[in-house]
Amino acid sequence: MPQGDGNLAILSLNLAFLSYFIAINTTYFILLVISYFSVLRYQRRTENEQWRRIIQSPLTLPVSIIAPAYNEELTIEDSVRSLLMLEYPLYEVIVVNDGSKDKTLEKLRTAFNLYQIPADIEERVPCKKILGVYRSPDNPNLVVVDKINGGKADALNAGINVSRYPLICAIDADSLLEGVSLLRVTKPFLEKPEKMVAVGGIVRVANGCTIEGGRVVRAGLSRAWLPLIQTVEYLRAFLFGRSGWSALNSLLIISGAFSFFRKDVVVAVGGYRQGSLGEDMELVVRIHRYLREQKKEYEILFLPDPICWTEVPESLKTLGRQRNRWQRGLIETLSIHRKMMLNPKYGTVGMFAFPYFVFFEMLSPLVELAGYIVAPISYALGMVDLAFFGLFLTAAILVGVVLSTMSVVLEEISFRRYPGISDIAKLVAASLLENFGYRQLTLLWRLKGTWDYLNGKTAWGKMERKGFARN
Amino acid sequence: MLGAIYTVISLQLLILATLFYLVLHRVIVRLLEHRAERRKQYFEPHVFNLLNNPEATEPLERSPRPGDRNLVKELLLQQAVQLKGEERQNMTAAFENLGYVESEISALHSRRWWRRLEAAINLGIIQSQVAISFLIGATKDPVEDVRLAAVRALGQLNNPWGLKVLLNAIEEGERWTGSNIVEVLIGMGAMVSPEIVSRLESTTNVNARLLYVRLCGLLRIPQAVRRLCLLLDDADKETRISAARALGQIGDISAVESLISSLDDESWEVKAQAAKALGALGDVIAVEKLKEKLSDKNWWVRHNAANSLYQLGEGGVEVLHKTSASGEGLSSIVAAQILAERALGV
Amino acid sequence: MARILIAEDDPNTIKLLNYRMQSMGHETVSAIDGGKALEMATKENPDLILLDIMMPVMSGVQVLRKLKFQDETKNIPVIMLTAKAQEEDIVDALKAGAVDYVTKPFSFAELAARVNRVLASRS
Repeated sequence: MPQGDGNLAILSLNLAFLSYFIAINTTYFILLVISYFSVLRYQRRTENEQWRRIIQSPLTLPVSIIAPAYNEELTIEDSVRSLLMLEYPLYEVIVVNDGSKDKTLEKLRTAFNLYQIPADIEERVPCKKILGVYRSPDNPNLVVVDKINGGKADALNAGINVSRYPLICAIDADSLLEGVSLLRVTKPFLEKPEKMVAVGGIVRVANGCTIEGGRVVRAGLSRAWLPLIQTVEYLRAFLFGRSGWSALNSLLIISGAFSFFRKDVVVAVGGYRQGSLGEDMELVVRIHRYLREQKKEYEILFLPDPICWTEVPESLKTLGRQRNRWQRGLIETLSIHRKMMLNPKYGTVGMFAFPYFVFFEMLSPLVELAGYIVAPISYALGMVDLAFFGLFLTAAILVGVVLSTMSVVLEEISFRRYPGISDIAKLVAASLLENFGYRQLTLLWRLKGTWDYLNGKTAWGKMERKGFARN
Repeated sequence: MLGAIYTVISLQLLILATLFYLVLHRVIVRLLEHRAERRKQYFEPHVFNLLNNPEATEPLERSPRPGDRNLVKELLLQQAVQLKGEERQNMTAAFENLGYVESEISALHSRRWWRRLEAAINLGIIQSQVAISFLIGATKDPVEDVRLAAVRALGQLNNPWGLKVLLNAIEEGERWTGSNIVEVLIGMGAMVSPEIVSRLESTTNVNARLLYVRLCGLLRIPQAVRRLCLLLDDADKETRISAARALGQIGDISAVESLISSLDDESWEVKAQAAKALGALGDVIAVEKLKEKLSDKNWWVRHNAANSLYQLGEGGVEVLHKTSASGEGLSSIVAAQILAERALGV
Repeated sequence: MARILIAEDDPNTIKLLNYRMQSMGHETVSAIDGGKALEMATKENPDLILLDIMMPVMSGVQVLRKLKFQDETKNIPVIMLTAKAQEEDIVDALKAGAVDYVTKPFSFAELAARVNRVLASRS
């Protein structure tokens, strides 16, 4: 047993860390339980849906897809071709060339036979100068906008200014959508036209899938460990965490890889924030803030349907940069809107979601890593006994394993996108590995991100393009 | 602390059990899928046989294996939904002969809402007259998805009760989602129109009237034009917007004068819809007024006016060329844009 | 007795059309997307193609245009398969060279009539 005041302090510190881990995992667990019900309910509603009927309905809302592109010459043609082939009655694809230094625009010009047209553009939201608007006679629903470089948020704003339709779909240039993606995601807007303002879709890991013509033809799991672990991570954190928040109408993040907004609301709040690091989250939080301040009834929904795939980093270096950037974006958004923190004026968003993100997402690298250092040292020095240390390890790691495996279980009983038997074995292995090393690594990267943010680093990192032909 | 050790061990056991369950579950699911595939292949030729011989149900009834009934039902439904005419009627008879109509009807009373939903959808595909009274009962189901499916099924059976339920729902407002109602009504086709027009004339409920206006536009009901023109002067902005839109969708040329006056409405949305509608109506007397609107300060009004001018043929196109060449302000840019887009065929 | 290529992305529809065409005494081959449809059309040299207007990867009209562009396939008559509300696509398809179209859901009598007419006018 520990003795003395100094030891009492150490013990309290260890207890504090233990409580933190228990708290964070309990919250995750609650979200997971809520998601179970939410996901199963969604699945049952849509199982029998005849999507072919909906596609013929004259009521489907037209959509403007906005795809910002910066130095994407390797993949831009494939991406755009697949975007032009979606099963949806009325939509346009707006590709915004954000001052690429490579041949992105030239590739588009030749591939799609582009002609420049004079354009009357309304500045609905601020954006840097637009140099030209191009159309393609072979592809009437393609619009290419060329502009001075201004960053992703700025490019999205330019797309908003050029768009013609009431719903905007912001995607990454390398997001791979499925044919029925638009149909599924616009349905909530049809059902609640007054209230629904934004819908996010789930993003799944494309590494390891069979991709043809910019479409995922067969879902598969990567052979490399890193993308495989990310597959489970995305299932756990993105899919099931977000379903939970969505059910509470407190969804703060919609992935920029595939997000839908009602244009009038985005224009009302001023569009994306230029120069922002996490422009997707920042916009959603701002929309929550604006609508709650205006006391309007609204809904922001997350759809668990697997309908958008994206390539994830395969090297530790790139992954590290990505997580660093995400952390910086998170801190930036939370600090911009800190007024909402624990503010009852902002309802469940201010009282639950915001504090969750501050304590359990933003601060977790600091607290968790400190815990990982203090606890083993305390045990080694005999200040805490084995039982306590074991409890700590359980809360820190083992419970994480439970959560990851539960996520795989939910995937198994709902969508089951990876049908093979070896696939489930891989997912099982990944859910174990995720918690023994990978999660801890992400903590390090996020810690560095916090440090970089505090030092004022605001540039984006780079991600090597590998192109689309992968098996 | 013994408790801590127990916690750790039980958690580890939980994890192991879950992992084991996952792999086992997957193996079982795959095995069942393979088996189902094989059974399907066995049944398929007999199912196709039914298309011409709805009495030939014997080979499908013979097998007592569990799960086979559902499998056969699935196969039948997959084919029935793709057919119409004589073969579809034969399928309906086959469903009845095999007892599926009965089983789906009793499923309409299942305690699980998703089973009731499935039953309503299936009965819509099966199209057996026997199910009508039960589907009518299902239109009062507490779950909206089930109610909708039941109403849709009644529509597919050409039964007017579904229509009655929906029209009453429009007046009531709350229990149903507007767009769902509109969608189902459109699916019902022509039998709906006379009811809608008479309700449009008589209703005092503003929200209901908005829905009727919308329906008149989507269903292109010419009898509604007179009333819609009157609604272009209504005090409620939403009503004016919807009326203008609907008149454009119907395309009846007698509305042209009213729409031209709507081009001076105080609200930009009404002006924009009126500008759009005038293009669809095709009467060139609108050209003068539309030309004025090319300089409107609202983007939508300008663009719809320019588009409509193009649609109005030679006279309108000439106006666009002149305005584009004039180089003055926004009107010339928008005219140039529309001309360039049409030249490219977009 | 003709060889008919069925290009459809819904496997149930392929089964149905196979059944119907075979019951009329014809031989059938099928393709599940636009790319394979072009391959099969070139390889198998069918007497008639039933082509779905909406398919993944390459749309029905795009496939049609390519078929009419290639020497080996440009003379094969094509009947489009369309769902009710795809009017503009039907016009596009007819302009691109389709000889006829059939709407879903199918009526066996109608299918037979149109197929027979096209095959008869070919010989």
